[in-house]
Amino acid sequence: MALTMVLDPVSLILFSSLFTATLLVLITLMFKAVAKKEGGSAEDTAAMYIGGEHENILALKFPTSDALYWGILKRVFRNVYNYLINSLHTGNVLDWLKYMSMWYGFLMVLAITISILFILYGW
Amino acid sequence: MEAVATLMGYAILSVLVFPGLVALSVASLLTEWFVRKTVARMQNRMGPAYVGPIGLLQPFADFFKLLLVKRYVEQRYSSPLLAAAGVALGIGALTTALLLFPLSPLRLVAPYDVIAFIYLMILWPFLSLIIVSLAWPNPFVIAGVSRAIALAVVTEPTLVASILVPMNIIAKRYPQVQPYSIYYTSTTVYKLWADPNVGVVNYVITLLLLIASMIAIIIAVQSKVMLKPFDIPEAEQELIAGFATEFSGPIYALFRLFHDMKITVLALAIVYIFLGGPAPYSHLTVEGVLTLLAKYVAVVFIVSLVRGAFGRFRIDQAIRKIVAYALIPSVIALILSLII
Repeated sequence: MALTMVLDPVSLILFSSLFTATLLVLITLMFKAVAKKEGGSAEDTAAMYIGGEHENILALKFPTSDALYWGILKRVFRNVYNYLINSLHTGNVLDWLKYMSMWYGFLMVLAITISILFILYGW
Repeated sequence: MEAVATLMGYAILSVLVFPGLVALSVASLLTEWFVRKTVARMQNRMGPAYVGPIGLLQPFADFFKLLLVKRYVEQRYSSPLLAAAGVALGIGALTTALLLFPLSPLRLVAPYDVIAFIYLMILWPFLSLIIVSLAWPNPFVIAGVSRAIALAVVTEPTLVASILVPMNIIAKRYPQVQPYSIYYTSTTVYKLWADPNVGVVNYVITLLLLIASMIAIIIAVQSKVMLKPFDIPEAEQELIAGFATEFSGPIYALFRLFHDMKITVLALAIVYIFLGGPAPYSHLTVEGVLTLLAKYVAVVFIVSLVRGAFGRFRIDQAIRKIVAYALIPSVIALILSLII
């Protein structure tokens, strides 16, 4: 009843892209066939909707979408950043030494463990 | 020659009719009705009620009215054809993704075809959302899109990590010719829920991993389709309608259909990859169809329940909640599924 095609991943991607492209063309043509455009070229219809403001308002300085994106991410990861800064920059050099030696010590132990495992068992 | 004709026949049937464009559109609009009705009942409203019995045909009426009767309003910077092609790209990718499931008459199977699933389910619909939004530029649209991108940074990895959890366990426990394929995962996953031969501890750990990744993927679905509490990219009190601000008429009809299709395909993905589809029955039995339907309705009901129960999160709250309750649990489940 059902037809199961066992492919390799590359052919699968090609097949699925072909189907996607077919549907893309089909739906776009359907849109072209049925869609009707609002008639008239009045100023109201040609302008974009900015909450009733005139387009001139866009000449004012806007935060870019990049700034918005990074602002959001920075806000989310600020806790991590604050934690790292506070544990490093306490004004006491011993804290800095402790923090750095802790991390380097951890990396050393990790490196030595992996080296021993590599010598004993190989990859 | 005959083989090619048979293949073409199956391809046309699967891509255009079932489970392709026609069946998926019908299922999506019925799903929209179910979500709207459930949320309305939770909020003491009637929900869709006028067209068809208990308002069942209301989404169809909305869709056809927007598509055939209403007109789109073009503004100075808009590009309607690009917008239509963008939304068609998303609908096409979602429809094609269904061919990877055992539901389809033409089943495409390959080792590691989860990559194709990610390509069709995560990459194209997201790019399509961006293309269709920016084809009708507006400051509200740009703010909405950048919020959607910020959410996607945590949502998409959660989706991938959760889907890989059952696949990892199955690849280890039931080695197959096609590892990490959607088809074999869907037909084998029911064994993870009810296999007494693996030992009690292993069984309990497997169940915990499956439940954790299922919760994670439901949160990720909520965020990917931008239902409450993750609908900040289209928060109407501050952004009018976010990326959908300038859509009208046929473009809005297609955009709404695309949105409903995302809910449908993601719910079907949960039903197949985590719950085994019609398992323990087969597809072409009455019990199988009823089981599949019951599981699908249950998943969509949970999604509607979350939508009805929560208010909107701010963007940073939303990202934090997704990281804490979905991304981190799914990544931990993924690592544990590699270890056990």
